[in-house]
Amino acid sequence: MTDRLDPITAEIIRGNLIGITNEMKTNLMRTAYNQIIYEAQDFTVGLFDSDGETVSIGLGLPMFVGGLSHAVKAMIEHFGRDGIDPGDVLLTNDGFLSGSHLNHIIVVLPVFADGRIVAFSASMAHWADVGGVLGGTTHDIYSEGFQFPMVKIVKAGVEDRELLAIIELNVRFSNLALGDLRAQLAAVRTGEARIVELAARYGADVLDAAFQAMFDASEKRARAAVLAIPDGEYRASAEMDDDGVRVGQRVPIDVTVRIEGDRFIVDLSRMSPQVPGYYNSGEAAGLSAVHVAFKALTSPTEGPVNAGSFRPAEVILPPGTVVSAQRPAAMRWWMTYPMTLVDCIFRALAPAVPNLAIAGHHADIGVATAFGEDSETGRLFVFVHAAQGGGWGARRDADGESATICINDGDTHNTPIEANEVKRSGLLATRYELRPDSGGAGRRRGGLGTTFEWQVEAGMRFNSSVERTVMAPWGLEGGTAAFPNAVRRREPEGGIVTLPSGKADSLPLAPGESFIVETGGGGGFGDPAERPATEVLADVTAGYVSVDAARELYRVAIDGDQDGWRIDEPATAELRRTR
Amino acid sequence: MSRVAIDIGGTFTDVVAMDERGAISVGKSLSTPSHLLEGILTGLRYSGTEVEDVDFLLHGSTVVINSLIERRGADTALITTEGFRDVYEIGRVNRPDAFNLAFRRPRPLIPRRRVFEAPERMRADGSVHRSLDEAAVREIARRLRVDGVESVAVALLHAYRNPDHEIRIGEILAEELPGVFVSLSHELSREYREYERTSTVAANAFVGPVVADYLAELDRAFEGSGGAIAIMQSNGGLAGIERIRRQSVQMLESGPAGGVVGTIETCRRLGYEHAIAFDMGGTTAKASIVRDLAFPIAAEYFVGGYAEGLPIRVPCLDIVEVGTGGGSIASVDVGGGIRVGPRSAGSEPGPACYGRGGTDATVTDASLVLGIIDSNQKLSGGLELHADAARDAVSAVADQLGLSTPAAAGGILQIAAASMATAVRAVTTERGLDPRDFAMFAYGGNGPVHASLIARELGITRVVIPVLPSVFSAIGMLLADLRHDVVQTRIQPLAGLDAGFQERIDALKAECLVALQEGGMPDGPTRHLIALDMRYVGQEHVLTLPIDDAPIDPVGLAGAFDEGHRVRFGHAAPGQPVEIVSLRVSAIRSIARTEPEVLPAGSGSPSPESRRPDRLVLFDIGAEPLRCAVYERAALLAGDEIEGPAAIEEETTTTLLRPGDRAVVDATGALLLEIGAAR
Repeated sequence: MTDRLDPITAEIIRGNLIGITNEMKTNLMRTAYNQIIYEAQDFTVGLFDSDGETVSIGLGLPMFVGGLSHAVKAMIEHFGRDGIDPGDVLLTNDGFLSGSHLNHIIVVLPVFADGRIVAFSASMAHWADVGGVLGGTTHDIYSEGFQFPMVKIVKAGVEDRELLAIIELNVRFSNLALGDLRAQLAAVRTGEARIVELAARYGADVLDAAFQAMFDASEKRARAAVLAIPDGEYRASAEMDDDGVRVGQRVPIDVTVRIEGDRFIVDLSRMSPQVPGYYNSGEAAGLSAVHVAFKALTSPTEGPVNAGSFRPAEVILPPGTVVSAQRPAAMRWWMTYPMTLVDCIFRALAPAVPNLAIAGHHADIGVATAFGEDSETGRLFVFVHAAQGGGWGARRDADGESATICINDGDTHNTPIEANEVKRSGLLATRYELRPDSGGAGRRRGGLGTTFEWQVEAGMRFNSSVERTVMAPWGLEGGTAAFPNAVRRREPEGGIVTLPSGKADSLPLAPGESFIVETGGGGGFGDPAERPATEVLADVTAGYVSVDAARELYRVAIDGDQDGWRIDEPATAELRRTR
Repeated sequence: MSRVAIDIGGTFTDVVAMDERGAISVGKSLSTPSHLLEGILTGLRYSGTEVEDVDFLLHGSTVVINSLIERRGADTALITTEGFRDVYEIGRVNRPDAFNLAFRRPRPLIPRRRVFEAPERMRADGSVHRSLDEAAVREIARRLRVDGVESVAVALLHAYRNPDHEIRIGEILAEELPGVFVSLSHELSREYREYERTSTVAANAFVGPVVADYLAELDRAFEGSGGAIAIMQSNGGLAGIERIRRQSVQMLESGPAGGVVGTIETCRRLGYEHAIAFDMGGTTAKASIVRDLAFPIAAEYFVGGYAEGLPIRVPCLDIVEVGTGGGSIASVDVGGGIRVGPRSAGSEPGPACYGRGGTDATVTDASLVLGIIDSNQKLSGGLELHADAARDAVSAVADQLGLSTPAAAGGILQIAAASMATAVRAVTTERGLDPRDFAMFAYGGNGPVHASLIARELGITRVVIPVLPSVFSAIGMLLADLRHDVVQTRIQPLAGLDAGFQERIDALKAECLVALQEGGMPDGPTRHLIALDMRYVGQEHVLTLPIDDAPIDPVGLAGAFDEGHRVRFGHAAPGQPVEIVSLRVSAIRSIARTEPEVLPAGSGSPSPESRRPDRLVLFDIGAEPLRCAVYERAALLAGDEIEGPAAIEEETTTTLLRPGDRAVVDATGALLLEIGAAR
């Protein structure tokens, strides 16, 4: 605390910052035009200090937690403090700045008080279209859409008509794009108005002091949490299926974490080099992945999300890896690999923090699209299936959660079957169910993945972008791995064929055929033979675990049928004794 | 004879009786969760009313919400469409608490072993894709009988569009399982979104038998009165006991709904059209927004909060809650910062000043330290205040921060006010409204104490403290109308509307009228509210547009939708095709009632009899305490004016006027505050 700042004012300002970012978030969702923003919550809003350090983030998209700060700092460097004037609004969608795909448009507004920049108010939102190849495979960033370097979309209060015209000409749905841009501007202006109000009440210097005091307090809490982790070097690795171009060639994810006192050092030098396919992401994504894992382990529910709470996390990330890709790498599916990176950090640290650790999760959004000619209008339709939810890993004290969105996303919802069917004829849902036995076995069981089956009633084609169909979500401390993700096809005769890869490319489907997306489960935690037999019985009764898995993995013999299951005590004792 | 409202809250059961002349008497008793009726009868006795004197009983209760949150309900089964057994357990897959690895998804009320699939399938257009296998349903019923299931929920895909299969299953269950409670999803909600509809019917079936028992007991207890019993619903209207027995999820938020109805009715008497309803109790503060005297309705409700709560999709009071109340605890965290709430001392042990073992400093303790609350004041239930305990608790926090005890107390109040202001912002600025355009009604036991400070946070200049603010929800129930809503999803383009659409509206209106009549409810003049959920083709979210109860004009509707979209979402797309998603019809029937008494006019300034001894109150952390005039509210007359600083005391609460504030007593008994310089 400084002389100018008392603890009461500090706390009132902190509460206000959370409130302001919430308000920016609701305003963006309320006024955004495209569904990806208000249904999938693919956006982030935030407030930053005059150096671009995160003061408060309103999610949106957890995996973008560092992307905005990264961009604001680059803006300050690019334009220079003197080059940014009141009434300016800065914009970019440079993927190598945001770390992500070109659909992520970043808007930054400088907030002036007492004659100087006191803060920045910024938003990122996923635009439905930014030009580029429609679906399918991309090989470089140029095929993925228009790229805006750091520009002033508004100069001293005046919109740049030429820039807007360039955007309009380069996107497929310009009314959506400009609508979303207006929503982003409204959101950052909400942040501006409220910060100006706070500055008028307390003074710009007190506001600065409050930001710094908040950083220091958060850092203190985070360092205390890191100190509790035993010193040492921890390493974990995993494999992605492929990059969508070099089919079947595995891509290594490899993480080393060093704990030195209150320092949390993550070395990503062993990550795969950037790939020819479209699964690369930029440095900001690599750093954000570390921050997501770090926050989850040290201060998961502390608000606001601010730079201080990340200070103990140091990241060694050389350029040119798959999470620090250099131009002209393709980045359309940027969000997939970092999810497995986050899981690897949890995996590496599991021996050090067994009370916090979580086993692997399904780590994919499960996107599949069906497209064809609409029988009524004759026009092309694209039906997007995503976010059906999969299993999460078990923890020392709790079973994993079933059917939950992956760690890249937060408050993202699936689409109701009734809403999908009422909109689009030609597709009929036939199953949406939990996958029995898909959760890893353990003293704590992993969460279950789900199966979704769509039957097509007219001919159409099918794309999917599903990863981690090979390497299963792992267990911890003797818990077993879960089922991985899968994409399958049901033929008209009823036979089910598993596709060789989760990345189907324009696969034709005949009327009566189905496509099936199965999400993986979460890994188990601890020795399955130590799970109380009564809990195994409850799992069998509920249908989460089969009788066979109960016997093979949990070493519990269960008798009976749907009308009543019971434990065969002597057989169980024998099974558990002889394993 | 009296009309009596009984509002059961978490801590207190409030009884308010109004006789034929409009005179009001109050009885407040401690709630008795294990046997709610006990608290009711005690409260009734305290109010000086006999069972035989009750000619109409209005009732709101926490019985449904408690049963759901504590998961004490019937052994319940669920029947779904084949292939979709897990819709209820899978839910919407979202994870609101993004960084928390210990997140918990909403837990179903019905375990998976009690979920059964019926072979059948409807299509989105209401046609039958696969007919119902009745033999399979009878087989399920046999299983349920063997298992001794007490209640069954039925939720089939697209039943909102064609309920035939649900109805047939209901008939079969009635034959096979006589006496078992059966609830069909389309009876509660005819909107699409299968998870939400399933969750709604599951909750209703789960609590149904419990509520039926409770209502039967209530009915018996008041048999001697001969008057009808009506239940306060979350939609701001009353319904007969028989309807609530079948649809008990309608009474989830009956208490808060009563407060908002009270706000609307007070607005009507004051000539206001818009207001913020702000209710501050012991553990939370809640805000709602009233516009054009309409009861604010949200499409959805989450039991126990959004993050882990199960959704209930019936029209429900639109309200935002923050975890700040009189019992919120102030503490210093690891990082050295002060926090107020969300941890609360609740009613057990309560704030330190209650002298019941609490040692944490709460908002109420801070108020006592500052002199805002009189330490000689008696609390409900005969509790005495312990000023020493409050001072000790607050000074412990002050020491950790290096502040004086009064400075810490002042700070705790400011932080609490800033936090409660966010609830008001959530229903105003976050929806494009300016809170300064509204009068803020402050009630609940703590609302009048903190209203001025919260108003200053928001720049609000008009605050209303209604009569009997600490039992205001019960007051609202006395003034409520009967209400029934039907919402029906059927997607159709606006351009193609024909006579059939008007027939649908008329059919739903008729259905509402039948529902209002049930249970011997009194007759009265009835009006309908009609609204359409509309969107541009291709959008997912909808805008609810109220329309006149007049023949439909598609062109005019399109224009009104464009304009409504612009106001709500900031943009519009005139000329783009528009579709109607759902039709909302409500019937509201006014019941003849006595108007509450009017206060006689005074001289313009409070009489000497209304004065109590002055006391010192610390308003500004950096300044000296100010001598503060104290008044007894019951002795004030219409037209009396009071300048801040002042405290206006009544049983169970205190209205605080800060320096610069001014209050006028209205003939309704409400205190109309003008808030001085902002902040």
